[in-house]
Amino acid sequence: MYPKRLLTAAAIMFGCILPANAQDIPPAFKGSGTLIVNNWGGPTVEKMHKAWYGDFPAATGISLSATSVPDVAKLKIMKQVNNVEWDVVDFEGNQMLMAMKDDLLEPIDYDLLFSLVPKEQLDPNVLTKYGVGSTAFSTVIAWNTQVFPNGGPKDWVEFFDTEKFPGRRALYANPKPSLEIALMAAGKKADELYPIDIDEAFKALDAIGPKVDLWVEKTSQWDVLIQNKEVDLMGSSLARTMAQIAAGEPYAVTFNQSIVEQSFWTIPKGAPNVKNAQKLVAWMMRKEGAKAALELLPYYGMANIAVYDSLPAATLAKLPGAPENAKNTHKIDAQWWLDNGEAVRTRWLDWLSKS
Amino acid sequence: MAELEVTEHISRASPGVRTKTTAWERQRNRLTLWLLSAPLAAMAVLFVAPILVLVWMSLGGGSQGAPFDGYRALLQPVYLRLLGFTLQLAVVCTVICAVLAYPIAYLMVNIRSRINLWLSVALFISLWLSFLARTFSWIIILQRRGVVNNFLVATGITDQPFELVYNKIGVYVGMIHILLPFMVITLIPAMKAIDPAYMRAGLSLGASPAQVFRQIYLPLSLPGLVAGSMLVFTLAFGFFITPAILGGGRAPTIVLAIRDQIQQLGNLQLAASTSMVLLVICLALLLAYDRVSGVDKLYDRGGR
Repeated sequence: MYPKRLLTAAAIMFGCILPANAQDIPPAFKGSGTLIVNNWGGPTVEKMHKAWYGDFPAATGISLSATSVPDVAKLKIMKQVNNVEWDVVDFEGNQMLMAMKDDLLEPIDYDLLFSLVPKEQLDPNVLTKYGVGSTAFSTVIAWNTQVFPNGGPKDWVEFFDTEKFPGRRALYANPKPSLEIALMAAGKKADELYPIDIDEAFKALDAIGPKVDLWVEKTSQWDVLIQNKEVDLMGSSLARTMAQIAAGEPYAVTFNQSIVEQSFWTIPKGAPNVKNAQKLVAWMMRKEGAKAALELLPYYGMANIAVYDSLPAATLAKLPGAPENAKNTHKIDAQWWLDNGEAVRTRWLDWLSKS
Repeated sequence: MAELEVTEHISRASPGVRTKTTAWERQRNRLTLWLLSAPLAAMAVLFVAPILVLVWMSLGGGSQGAPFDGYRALLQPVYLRLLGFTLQLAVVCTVICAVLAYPIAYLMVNIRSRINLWLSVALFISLWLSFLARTFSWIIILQRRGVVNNFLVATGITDQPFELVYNKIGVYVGMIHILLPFMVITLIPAMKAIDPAYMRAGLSLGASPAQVFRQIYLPLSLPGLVAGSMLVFTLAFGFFITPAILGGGRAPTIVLAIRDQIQQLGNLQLAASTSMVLLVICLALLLAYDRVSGVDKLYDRGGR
C-alpha cells in the first residue's frame, strides 16, 4: 500500500482535486515515479498550472513536483556534469532556440501526443520539433481610465503622442520588446518589423526614450505601479494588468498592436525520466486542461485552439489568443532575437546607461 | 589570508630564534595546524576550486570561444562605462555608510541607555528582511503618491511631488539602507575593543575631548572602519536588483550585464570574464587597503 500512499501524498501536494476518468486514458500513459516540472513560479503560475495539468498524477500514477525558474545556462551546466534535474521545462521561445543550439533538448514524441489529443485541436504554429506551445504572453498598451476617461491610445504612435496623452509612461527595461515598440511608434507596421534594422531601431529608441519616465525591471513591479497610479500609460504585461483591473483598479488595455511572445514545453536531453515527460507534455495539450487554466486566468494564449469554441464570450473578450483579439498583434521572432541578441543587448545597455 | 596572519603571529612570538623553540610552542604550532586543517579544506573546496573553475571558464573552458574572446569583448566602451558607474555607486555608498554608521556604532558602544536596545532591534530587523521586500518598501515610501510626498503635499510644503525614486536618489537611499547595518555591526566590536583608559589618560593629561577623539579614538577604531568599508564596498559592487528597480532602469550596473550574459545570451565565457574582472578589482582594493592601513590590523584587537 506504500506506493499508493505516496501517490496520494504527491497528489495532495500538487493540489490535485479533479478526479480524472480512468477509462479515458490510454494504457501507454500509465506510469510511476515523479517528474520535475520547471515553470516560472509564483502563486499565480502555481494556481494556473494546477488547473491545467494537476489531474495528471491521479490519471497516470506519475506524480509531479514543481521548481523554478527555466534557465538555459543552468541546464547547460547540468548537462556538462551529467546531472540534469528537470524533466519538463517551460522555456521562452528564444531560450528554447538557445537550448537547441547547444543540443540540450529531446525531440517531442508527436505520435504519443496525437494519440491523446487530436492534431486538429492544436495550433500548428506552436508544434515544433523540440517544443510544443505552453503559453503565449502579451505586452499591451494600458492606460489609467481616470486620467484618460475618453479612451486611451489605439496604437504605439498614439502612445507616445504627448500632446494627445500627456502623462507618465513606463515600459519594460528590456530591448525585447522595446525595440519592436520603438519601431511601431515610428510608424512601422507590426508585420513589417523583421528583420529589424538595428540602427533604425535605436534611432527610434532615441525618439521615444525621453518620453519614458521609468523602465520596469521586474514583472511584479506592474502591480505596484498600477496600485499606486504611479504611471498613466504603460506597455505592460497583459496578465498583470488584467489581474489588477479585475481587482478594481481603473485601468484599461487594447489588444491592438499588442506584442505576443510564445513559450514552449520542452524536455531536456538526459532528463531523469524522458518517457514520462513525453506523457506529461502530451497531457498538457488536452482541451480540458487548457480550458480550466483559461477559465482561471484568461490572459494567455494556449496551444489547444479548439478551447476557444467552448469558452463564453465574456472570457473570449479577454483572451489574447481569441480570434477577435489576435487580429492585429505582433509576434516576437524568437529566431531573430537568438541571432542578434548579443549585439542588441550590449548596445541596449550602452543606450540605457547613456540616457 | 587569515590563516597566513595567524602563522605570522606565531613566528613573531618567538622573534628570530628558531633554535630556541620551546616544546610548548612546538605543541602550539601543531595544534594550530591541526585546528586549521578543517577550515583550510573547506576554503579549498568551497572557495578556491569554484574560482579556478571560473578562471577556466573565462578562458573559454566548456564553450567554443577562443581563450581571450571574453576579455576582449569587455573592452567595449559600454562595459567600461557600466564598470565605472558601478564603482562610483559602490564608493559613494561606502563613504555615506561610513559617515552614517560611525555615530550609530559609537552610540551603541559608548552610551548605556535603553536607546541601545531599540537601535539593535531596528538594525537586526532590517537585516532579516529580504532585499526585494525592502526595495519595494522604499518604492511605497518614496513614490509620487508615497508616504513622503503625500505628507509634503498635504502640509503644503510643495504642490508637486518630488521625484524621489526611479532615479539615482532612489538607488542610493535603497542601497544605503540595505548596507548600513553591515557597517554598524563591523564597527561595534572594533569600538568595544578600545580600552577607555586611553581616553581617560588623554583627558587627564590635558587634551581636549576633540583631540582625544581625533588622536586616540578615531585611529584605534580605524581597523573596524576599514573592515566595514571593505565589506560594504564588495556587497555594493555586486548589487543589481535594487539599483535596477529603484533606478527606474536608468542605473544599469555591471552585474546586470552579467545577468544578461548568462540568462539571455547564454555566454558563460563572457559572464565568467566579467566576474573575474570584478573579482580582481575587489582583490586589488583589498591589497591597496592593506598598503594603506594594514589588513593584519583587522585581526588585531584595537589598542595593540
